[in-house]
Amino acid sequence: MDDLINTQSAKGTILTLPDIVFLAFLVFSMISVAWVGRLAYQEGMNNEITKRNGELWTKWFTQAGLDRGKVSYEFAPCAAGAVQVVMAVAPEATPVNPDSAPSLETSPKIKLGPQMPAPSDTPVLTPVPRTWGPCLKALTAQGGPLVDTVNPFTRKPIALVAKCDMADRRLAGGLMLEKIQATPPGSAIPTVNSPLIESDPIDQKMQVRITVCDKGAYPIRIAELEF
Amino acid sequence: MKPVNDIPKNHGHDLDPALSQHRLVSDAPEIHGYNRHADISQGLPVRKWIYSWLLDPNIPGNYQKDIDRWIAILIVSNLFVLLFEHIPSIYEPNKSLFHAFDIFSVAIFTVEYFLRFYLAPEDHEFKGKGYAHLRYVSSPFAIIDFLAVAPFYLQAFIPVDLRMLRFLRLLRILKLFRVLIPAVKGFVIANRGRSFRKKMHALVFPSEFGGNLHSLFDTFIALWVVISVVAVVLESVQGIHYLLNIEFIILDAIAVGIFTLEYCMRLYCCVEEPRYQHAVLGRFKQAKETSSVIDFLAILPFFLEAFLHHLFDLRFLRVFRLLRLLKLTRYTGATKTLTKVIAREWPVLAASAFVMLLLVVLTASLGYLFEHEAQPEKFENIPQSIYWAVITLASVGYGDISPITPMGRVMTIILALLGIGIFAIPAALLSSAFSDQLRIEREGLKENIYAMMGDGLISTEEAAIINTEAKRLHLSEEEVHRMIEKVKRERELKEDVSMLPLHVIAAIPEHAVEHFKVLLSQIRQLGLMTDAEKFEPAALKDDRLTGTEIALWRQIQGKISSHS
Repeated sequence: MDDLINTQSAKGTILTLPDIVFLAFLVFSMISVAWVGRLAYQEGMNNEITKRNGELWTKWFTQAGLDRGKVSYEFAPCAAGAVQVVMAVAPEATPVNPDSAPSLETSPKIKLGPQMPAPSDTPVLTPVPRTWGPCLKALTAQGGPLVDTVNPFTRKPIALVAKCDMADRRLAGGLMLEKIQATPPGSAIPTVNSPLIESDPIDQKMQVRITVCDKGAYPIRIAELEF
Repeated sequence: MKPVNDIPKNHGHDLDPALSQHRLVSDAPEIHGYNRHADISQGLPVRKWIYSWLLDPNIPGNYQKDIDRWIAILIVSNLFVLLFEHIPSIYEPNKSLFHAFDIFSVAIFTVEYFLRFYLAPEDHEFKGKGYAHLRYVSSPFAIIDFLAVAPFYLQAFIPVDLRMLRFLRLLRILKLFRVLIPAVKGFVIANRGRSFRKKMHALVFPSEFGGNLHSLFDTFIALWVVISVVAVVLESVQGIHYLLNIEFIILDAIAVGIFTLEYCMRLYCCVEEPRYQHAVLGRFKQAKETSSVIDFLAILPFFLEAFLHHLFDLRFLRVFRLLRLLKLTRYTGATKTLTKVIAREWPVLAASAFVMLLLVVLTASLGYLFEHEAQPEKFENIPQSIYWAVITLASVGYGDISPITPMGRVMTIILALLGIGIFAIPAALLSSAFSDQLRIEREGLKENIYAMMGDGLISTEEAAIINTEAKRLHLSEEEVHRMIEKVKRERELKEDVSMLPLHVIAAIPEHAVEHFKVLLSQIRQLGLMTDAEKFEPAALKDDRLTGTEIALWRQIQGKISSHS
């Protein structure tokens, strides 16, 4: 018996068929773990890209929040203040929708900056607050500062969503912009959040919250800032 | 997590060879060796004295094991620090702390290196071989130690790329080989000639063949349990999760890989355990064990989330990763004791629960009766009143629902007073049952020691059992010593030393003296009882006794006669 053991030990451990099968299974298990880990990693990377998108928007919003009140601010659709719109009738009449107003580039009659008194023989220029719609279009239009933000889950340009809803996985990678408004004194809650919609005026400083939706359409809060 | 089966094995090294196989009862204090003080003479030369205290692995009670443990912790900490250095959000704001830790580590490792260099002539590996310092410097472990600190000093003279420097610092992990290699060597020797499955069994399950490698395996698994649970807890902190999302994913994948490996290994080699010997049924039985179910649940969420995430929202499964903490119960007997206590006291606990249930339903109903009209929105129905009753009985008292009618308030006073008594019953029951169970188990240990000392000795294996049990039952060194002394006295009272085998008696001088006295007494008794006139002729006939023996007989008997 001792001889047998000595011989075996001299040869090293002899693997039996079950041992080999087990080792093969072990290798298979490890490959499975690595594969699943890789899938999780890829999903995680998509989440990271989504967060980077949110951060990119945050960076632009933060900078714009500092500069857009200045006269020299170049990105006009998102500038603060009002836009002077040519009115066909007297100013008391129905206000013109700024979205349908002539663009800055095409209309030489639109002036930016502080309003000057209109001469009596020229058409009436009426100040209309700028809204979020044209600003958003300009941001994501060709040549806009945020045109390169792509949803990693759909490989399409990033879309704004009203809410990150876990029940709707198609929202994964979406961006949610909310305006934060203070409630009247004495209210139970100090602020109220609502999605930033195209008709929201952006002529004044405003508090904005930026959130992105992860792979499960869970919200990931990126930042709260002044725009 | 100290390997309980290894504690006693190290004890025998410095014993006299004649006693190395068996430990004497008179050496009882040494049994509980993990708290004992090292027996190192003050008169030793300084170098020898320092070596004995700090680095000699063969002196129980010195600081060698503590130093090894702390160095190992420092190495592992260095590994984590190195990983965190690659995360800018952590590294950048804490650069100075990272640098300070690096300096601290290098200082410790340098001191260790020079200490080993200075003490090399005392080291058993180099002792008496000449050029001990040189031999030490060129030894593999010393080279590893040198490589662990050299890059730090190198950067002071040569500009080294930061990435290269970090890579070189990774070499510090190699220092763990100082612990790992001897453990592997011991494991290989202990398992020479055994099959692959048996070797795996020795590694994974506690056994006499596992040695230090088994304890390192356990420590490794326990470390990863702690790491993964801490990661799960930190993941819930939004700020941390935001920064370290990818790192958490990688960490989880590694943890699952390790736990999967462990789970498969346990299932494969469990058939070496006497309880699970059948190839299929044995493994099935093992898989049904609570610890195996916990192991399985520890890895399941990882796979489920990957395969089924497109069907269901399985994010809630991540919380179940906290179940990994239960894996640590394998390494402690306290959970088993608690389970035993609950099982034993179950009828009383059930009766107590029944009384509580009765009280809760009755009180809720009365609460509903008295308060419903006054507060219909709060005491809307009896189930809602049950919430109020439980909160009041358990003395929690959130205060979100409270009675306003006089009757309701009177009832609340009674309820609160009853609650103190009724809800305290299970706690008191468990507490007393737990201490009772501990007492029973300690009695059991005492009985075991009593049985072990049947031959008057405690062998190394028996000492191992005593140590394991003493640790499990939270007995201090002093308590174990006292228990052994008590058992020893009981044995002495009950049993005659002469019943022991002669070689056992001979091994203990005190026993030998006692035995000699017994023999002398028996000879005296023989002299008194036998016919002295017939004894001597019978002894002299055919030279049955020599002259010296006859003289000795007469001397013993003569003394008797002179005393009497």
